[in-house]
Amino acid sequence: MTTGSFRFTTKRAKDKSKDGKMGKYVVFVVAIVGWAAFFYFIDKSIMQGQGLPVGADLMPV
Amino acid sequence: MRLTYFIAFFATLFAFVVPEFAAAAADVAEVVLEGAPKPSRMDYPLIAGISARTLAWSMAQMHLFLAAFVLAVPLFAIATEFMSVITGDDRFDNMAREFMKITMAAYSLTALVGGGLLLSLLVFYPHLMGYLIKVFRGQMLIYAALFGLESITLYIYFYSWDALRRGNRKYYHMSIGLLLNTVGLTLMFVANAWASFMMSPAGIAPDGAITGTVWEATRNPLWNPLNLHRFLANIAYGGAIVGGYAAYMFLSEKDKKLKEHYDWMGYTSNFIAILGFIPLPFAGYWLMAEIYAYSQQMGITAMGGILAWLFIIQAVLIGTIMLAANYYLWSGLMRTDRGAQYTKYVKYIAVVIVGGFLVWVTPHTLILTTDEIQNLGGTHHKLLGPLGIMPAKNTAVNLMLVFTFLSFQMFYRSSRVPVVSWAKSANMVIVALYVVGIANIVGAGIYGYITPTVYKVGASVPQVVTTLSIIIGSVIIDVFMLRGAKSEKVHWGRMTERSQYALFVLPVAFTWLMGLMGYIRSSLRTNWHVYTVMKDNSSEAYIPTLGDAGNTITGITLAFMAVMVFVFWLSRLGATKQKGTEGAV
Repeated sequence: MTTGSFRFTTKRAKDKSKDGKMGKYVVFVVAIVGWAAFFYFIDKSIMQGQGLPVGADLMPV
Repeated sequence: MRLTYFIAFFATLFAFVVPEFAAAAADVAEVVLEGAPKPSRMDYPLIAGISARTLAWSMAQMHLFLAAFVLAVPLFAIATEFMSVITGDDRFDNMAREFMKITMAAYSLTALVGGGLLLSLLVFYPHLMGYLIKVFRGQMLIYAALFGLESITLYIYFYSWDALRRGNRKYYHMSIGLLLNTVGLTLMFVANAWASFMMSPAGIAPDGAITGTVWEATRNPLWNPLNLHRFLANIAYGGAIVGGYAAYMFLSEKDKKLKEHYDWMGYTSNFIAILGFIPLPFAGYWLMAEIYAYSQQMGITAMGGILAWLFIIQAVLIGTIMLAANYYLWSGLMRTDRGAQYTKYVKYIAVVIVGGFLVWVTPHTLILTTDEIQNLGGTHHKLLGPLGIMPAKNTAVNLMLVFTFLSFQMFYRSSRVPVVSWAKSANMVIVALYVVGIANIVGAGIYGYITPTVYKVGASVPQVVTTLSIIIGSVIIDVFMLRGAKSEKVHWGRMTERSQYALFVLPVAFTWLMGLMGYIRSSLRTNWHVYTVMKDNSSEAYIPTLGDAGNTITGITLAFMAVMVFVFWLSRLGATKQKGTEGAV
């Protein structure tokens, strides 16, 4: 009984840790996309603000 | 009550003096239609074979070193004093007072060397000084008055420290400090106007005839870039010098408590130095961009002519500063018990800092023999040549700054354990910010190789903004994430003696760097006293060889270091009591 309970607890703990890890990576991916969008907007605005027209790919037009 | 009289006296003095200052600054020009003087070689006095240029150069540079130090230290002394009010921790107050103690020892030397500079200019370059006095008229008197006010406020600020330490009196004391800093900065801005006028004259006709106001001459094209650059450099420089003092005291003291104090002081000074240093390259870029905008010829003399090689030495010195500052931060990880868990990242940061350093010192054009050119297949190395141009160097410097900030962030984190439930997620957001930010910096660097020059130059701005975004973004997230964090004990004093030598490297490298860059800035005028307006016809109106310039700069640096050792020794002497007289008042 004790062993079973121990196993059960361990499994739950493992599952929880897996969820935690997954959640962490989801946040990481979302943050990557968010920061990429932020820097894309910044780069484009700064280049255009300097009078240097750029296209959607940030290359000179 | 006496204090009220005292403040009322100052308020009255200000009420009378400030309008006079304003009137003098706005002084409408009496139109002087004669142009700038045209002295012949015979008009430059030759006295006992003294090299006038070397003398004026040494005096000006030494004065600038000391002035930068005594202007910067009160700035962060008042910030540290303010910290003591906010936190109620007397350690900040004691440290601020100690900062000022070093300044006091250096202040009279600053005035002494300033007087020496003025005399050497009046004796050896009378025509130039006469012309500058005509251009700036009453502003020269304002400078003298401000210098007097600076002395008064500095002495009052220091000597009233204990008398105005508690309660509302503390705010009076900080007000005096604020006045001291306002006057100090104004002094610097005025002196900068004269130096920048000589590079980019304004308010005059092409032949030098004075047609504008003093304000027009002051607000010349390079004034504000120089103001910003010197302001930041002074903060970094002051921090580095005080850090050197803290290291000197750390190594000298045997008492454990005092060692802890000086270790903390060293850490704080290094932090101040880095804080001033991180935005400095950006201010430098702005100054250089404005130089190019004002005169392309002047810009090319700096970055593409004889002076360009000195920028390689500049890179070596800045790389040295970065390595020393980072090494000190890495050593600091041993102060906390959790610090060890971060040491595994140090080697990666070191790779980036050293890699960035090597890219920065890579010259574009090599000095080669004919055989070497033939072996190489041209004047540029196939692989290393591309690293000699600005996109590579901009990328390198931005990455070095980002990773220096990371070193600091690791130390800061090592003494704090976040307790908020979303700490892991916040860490991921910070990691993502670093990853995307670094990719953006590198991407913008590569972009510079595949686009026209104007886009290449333009792409350096997003790189700067990215670096600042990483730093500011991380700080904001850290502030929220570490709110109420569990503090780990920081074992101040648990530092190797070796690490203190990194704090000695910083002031030496900073001093050398300032001497070098000051020489470059001044040499941009080539054979002109006032660029394109008043020619230098003295026998020394030429750019010296790099070796001669390097020797002079090194000589001045060594002399300044000797002065600083004297100042440190003096500060220590003041706190030393003869055996048996410890109880004496």
